[in-house]
Amino acid sequence: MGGSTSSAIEIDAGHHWVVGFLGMQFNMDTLIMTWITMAIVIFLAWLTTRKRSLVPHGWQNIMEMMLDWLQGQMKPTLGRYWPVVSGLLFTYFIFLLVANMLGLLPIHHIMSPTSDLNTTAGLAIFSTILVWAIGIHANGMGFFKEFFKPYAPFVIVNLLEQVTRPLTLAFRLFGNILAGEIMLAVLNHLAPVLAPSVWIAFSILIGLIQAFVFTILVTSYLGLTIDSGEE
Amino acid sequence: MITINGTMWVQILNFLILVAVLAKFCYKPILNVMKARQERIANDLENAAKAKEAAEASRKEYEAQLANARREAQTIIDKAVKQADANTQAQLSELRTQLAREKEQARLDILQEREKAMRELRQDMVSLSIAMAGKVVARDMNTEENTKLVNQAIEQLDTKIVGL
Repeated sequence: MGGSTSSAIEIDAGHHWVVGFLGMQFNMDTLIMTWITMAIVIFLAWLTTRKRSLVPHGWQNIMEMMLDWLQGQMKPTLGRYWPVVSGLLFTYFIFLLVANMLGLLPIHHIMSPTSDLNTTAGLAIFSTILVWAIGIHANGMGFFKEFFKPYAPFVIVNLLEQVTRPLTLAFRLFGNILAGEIMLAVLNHLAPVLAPSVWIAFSILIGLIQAFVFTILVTSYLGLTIDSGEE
Repeated sequence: MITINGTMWVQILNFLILVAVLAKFCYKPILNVMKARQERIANDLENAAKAKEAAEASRKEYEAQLANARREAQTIIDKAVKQADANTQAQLSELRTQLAREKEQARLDILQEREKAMRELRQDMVSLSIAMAGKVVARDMNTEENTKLVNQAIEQLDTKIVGL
């Protein structure tokens, strides 16, 4: 990204530091940001659990409140599979929440891992693998019969749905976060201080909503798969 | 620049590592604490309900015992009053019987005394009659007049002295 004039805005978002290894390309900046996100999440988990007690205090309160809220939202949808996937769904939410917020820090070269499509696509593909695995476990071969319902020709639509689900998951999150970071960079150039502050406040909300939407949609796909077998 | 490359697979691996770490060191302990708290609260509520039930049962038992004690006390008082009444009646009855008996005895004694007095009086009268008869004989009266005088004397004596 760059302009022909000296007043053109330089934007880091969307540009990556690519490194080749074993014939594959890796976005090292994204990976480093992901590891930083993981470190922050693990640090928060440590803060939460180091002095845990029956009467909760401080960070334990916040984590318990969040887990309880997520549990209330997702547990009824998943029934007996809740204990199997609860850890994954909690991690989706917490990881995405921290990752989405990271790019809002006013530090140069710090970006959200979720502003890279590789991250969101990876998470979306993994969620699809999870949905299929749970679907096969819950329904056996009946899971594949579902693709031919209500009539055989619907197999095309149903298969297309299986593809569009991860695509929409990945692009929705990626688009929201990348757009937010680009807007922040633009606003920093156009009207420093006030406008970016307002945009950061808005982006915090967007980051929270996107983390929740991603997690709740994965839950919903899992729920639909489990329900179709039980009907 | 939007390109999908090897980063995607590494991200999946990163995510799985994070899931494993958090599941073991965060969710499990926190959920265990939440579960323990839930059980503790449930137990406490259950115990409180039981304690309340026990207290209520004790209260009812005490009230029943109190009512029973009151009843028993009343019974004892009633019994004592009845017993006292019965004793009084028996004593009165005995007293009356004794009085009647003493009265009867007194009446019999009076009768006996009177009989005795009558007897003594009669004896005295006989003696007196004989004395009078001696005097009449000394005046030389005929037999008819003599008997008449004796009977008169006896009748007068009976009427005046004895009152028969």
